[in-house]
Amino acid sequence: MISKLLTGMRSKKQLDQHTDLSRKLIRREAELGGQLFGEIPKGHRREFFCLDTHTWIWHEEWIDEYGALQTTTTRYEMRPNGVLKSQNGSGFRTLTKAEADNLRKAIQLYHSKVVEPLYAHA
Amino acid sequence: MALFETIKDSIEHVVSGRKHTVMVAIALAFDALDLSNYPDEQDTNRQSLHFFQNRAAEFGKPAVNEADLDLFDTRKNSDQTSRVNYLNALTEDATPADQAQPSLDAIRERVEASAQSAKIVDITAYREDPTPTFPLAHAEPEAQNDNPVESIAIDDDGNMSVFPEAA
Repeated sequence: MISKLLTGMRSKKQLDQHTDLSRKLIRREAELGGQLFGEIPKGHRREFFCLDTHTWIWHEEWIDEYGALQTTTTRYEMRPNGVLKSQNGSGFRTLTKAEADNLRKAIQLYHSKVVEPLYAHA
Repeated sequence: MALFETIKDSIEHVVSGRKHTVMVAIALAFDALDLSNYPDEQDTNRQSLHFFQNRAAEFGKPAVNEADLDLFDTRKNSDQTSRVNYLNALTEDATPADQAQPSLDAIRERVEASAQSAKIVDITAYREDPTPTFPLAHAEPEAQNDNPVESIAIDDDGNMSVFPEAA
């Protein structure tokens, strides 16, 4: 009984450690991904990352001229029939051709500049 | 020593799992951004084929035969599942060529670097809530539309920018 309990506790702890490590990896990807698009304006924070197998996130934060924090979160959902885009939780819409092309280039860069260096030995 | 190896294996499992997830995501993204969805683009499939050729080589496949390439040519094969399965096989069964197994120190170094750059945003919130609202906590709804981020832009010199100048 006690042995079973200890095993369960170890499993829970290991799961928590895995979850924590996964979060850290995604955060690191997000930081590196935000650097793919050139210089980040002063006072801005930019993140671009793969959330899961079907979702890419682009997040921007900046302080506007009134000193208020502004944020824009763009979510790209990969579907079998195309890509859907949602900004700040609004409804989904399809991409323009130009944006689809740019997103593809960004994801290619993500592979070469984020995934390859970060997981070179994985 | 056994415990050390267990921890090492455990960390490696998480890291390789994350890499696998991203690689599948990239494959699915190329599918979703395919030529058939954007008829004006001419080179999409070619880019995808080149991408997977490179990946196959990276994972120790000496050559990609025509059948493999056809698998990723969506004009010849509309079965997305077959492409995902192919990539799964590549990344699960093969060891990247000419790459030594990572040392625990190397993994720790990368993880610590990640931790130091940890962001405030709790990314996992997305997993739990399909309609995330946390970024709106400090934003004025009216102002959000003043600087819409319409696209990831690339200028003629290949420089990428994503953000219109803030007002």
